[in-house]
Amino acid sequence: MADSTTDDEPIVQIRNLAFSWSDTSANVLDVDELILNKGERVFLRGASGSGKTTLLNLIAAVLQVRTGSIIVDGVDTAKLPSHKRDRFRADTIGFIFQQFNLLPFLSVVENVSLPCRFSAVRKQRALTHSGSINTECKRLLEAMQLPVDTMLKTSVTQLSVGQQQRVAVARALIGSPALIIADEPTSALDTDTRGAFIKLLFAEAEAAGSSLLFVSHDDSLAMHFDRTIELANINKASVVQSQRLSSC
Amino acid sequence: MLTLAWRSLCNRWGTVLLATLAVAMSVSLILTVEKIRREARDSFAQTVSGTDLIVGARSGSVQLLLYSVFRIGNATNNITWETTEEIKQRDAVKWVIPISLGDSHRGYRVVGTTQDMFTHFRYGRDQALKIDSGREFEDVFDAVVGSEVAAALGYSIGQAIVIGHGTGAVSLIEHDERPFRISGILAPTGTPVDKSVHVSLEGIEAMHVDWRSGSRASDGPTVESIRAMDLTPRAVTALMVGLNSRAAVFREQRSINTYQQEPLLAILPAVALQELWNLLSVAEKALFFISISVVGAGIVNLVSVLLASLGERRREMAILRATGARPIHVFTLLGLESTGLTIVGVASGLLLHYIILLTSGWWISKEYGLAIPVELPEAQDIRILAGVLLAGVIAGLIPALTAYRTSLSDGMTQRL
Repeated sequence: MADSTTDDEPIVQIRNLAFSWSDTSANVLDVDELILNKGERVFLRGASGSGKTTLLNLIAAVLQVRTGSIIVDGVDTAKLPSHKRDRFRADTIGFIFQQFNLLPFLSVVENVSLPCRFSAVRKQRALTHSGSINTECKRLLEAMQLPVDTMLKTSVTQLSVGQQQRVAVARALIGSPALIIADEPTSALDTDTRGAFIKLLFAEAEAAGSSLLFVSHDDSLAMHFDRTIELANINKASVVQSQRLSSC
Repeated sequence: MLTLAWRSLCNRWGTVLLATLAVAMSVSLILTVEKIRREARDSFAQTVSGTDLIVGARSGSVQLLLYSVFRIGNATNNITWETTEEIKQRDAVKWVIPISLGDSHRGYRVVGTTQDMFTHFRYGRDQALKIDSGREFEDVFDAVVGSEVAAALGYSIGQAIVIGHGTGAVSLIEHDERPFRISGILAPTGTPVDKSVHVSLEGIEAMHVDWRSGSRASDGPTVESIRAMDLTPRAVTALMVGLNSRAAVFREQRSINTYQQEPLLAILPAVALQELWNLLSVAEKALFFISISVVGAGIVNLVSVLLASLGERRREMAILRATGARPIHVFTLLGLESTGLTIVGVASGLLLHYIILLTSGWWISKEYGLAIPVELPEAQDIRILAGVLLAGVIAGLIPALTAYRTSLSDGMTQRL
């Protein structure tokens, strides 16, 4: 396993974070410290309803931090006005969902290039890398070992789940965002393809220089990662809110 | 953003097409109703044109208009033939069309008149009555029927008809021993003329020879003996008067209204028609209100389709948000969609309106004698179109705002 280079400054730095859905309800998250170093590949393990998705939404600055601080890529997102937060997220974070990552009405290449529509920074990086967005998309798709030439003509809905997830990785990677957040990206894949998927994800995240936060409840994947964080161990909030289970 | 909105729309074209069609249909409905309403109003105002005065026994102006022009209701009194002759002789008067009412044929009014009806009567934009087939009445027992009478009763030239006394649909007393013969059928006019049976004034007299106070006196004289009689009418119901100069209209009106020999009333048809139309304006407003409601329903439908689709599109929104779309992007996406659909709906509604006019205008003209000219939209139409557009865009903000809010709270989360 190639060890990634670690800078002094962490990519994600969480301190004294507490989060509840309202002032009166109990905390969902209560985390003293969570640090992800640059280039690190971290496996965040947590059962359903343990506050995983809430934590991801906080890191992505979708949810507003009220108590404590989260610094992502050197920026305290809580201090940014909302439109700057949105821009920051578009520039800095690549997302991979559990499934249904792709817009069915766009072509494969259009899906991959989607972040470049919203982030000038990532568009510029993609252009610097390959000269054109289209070429960069194809390069990433090829890197994800997808049959680019045949796929360009097919609708994304005709792709297999595994192929769809790999297209999603290509999309998360385009324009080399500093951080990739993958929310159970392998749960829809069968065991055989999981390992291959993770290897591809690692290789390309490294090539792009992106750190990786990989969230799952599947212990068997932990061995691939630099480090495993057990959410239950760092989250002191005891109350598990069952109604928030709906998300995954 | 535009391409995204467009591609997303294409993905849901079925429901979206139907919703847009609903808007288009409601827009074309309101435009067409408005058009017909305007044309009907114009046509109504021109039920009589070119006639400067209508003269009848003294009563109300609307009543006089109703029985003389629309053949609704009855005259309270008649005008003597001497007075008719006197008015005809006046210097200012160019022509007089006498009208004698009071009889009917199977529910249609019989109008006793003279040849002047065919030469001087005008309706619409200076249109004279046109004989569709046959000829004007010449003989005492000739009748010229309106287009609707001919169509409804299946009459043809030469057919004998019996004219009843009184004006009910079923006449108990009929002048059956003196049948009339159809000499001509008029072309449709879209006026009450279509529902009238025209005979000569002599014909009316002939019908009533030997009748006293509404009942028949024993065996009447034969047709031959009637022809030999002096059939000069004793009285008529109303007169349509054309003047040499329109400038004289008020003077003549006053002169007739203050006529010493008998109490008369002269009205200006245009003014009286306007008064009558104002009475009908409630129906007009109701029609407009219904059209507005249909447009409202179309817009509500469009918005509800868009709102309903939001549920299915939460995933789409989450993906867009995850790839960097800001809530304002989501708002713009939805706003573009509803605005675009409203524009397309309004535009195709306008198109549909013209298609309707072009395809069914001739039919309306043929059936109802109402000419619907195909013209560019009037100021009123443009106001309606702008109003619908505005309403659609404003209503379209509802789904856009909803999507904006859900995308804020859902964030990256794929809530399904």
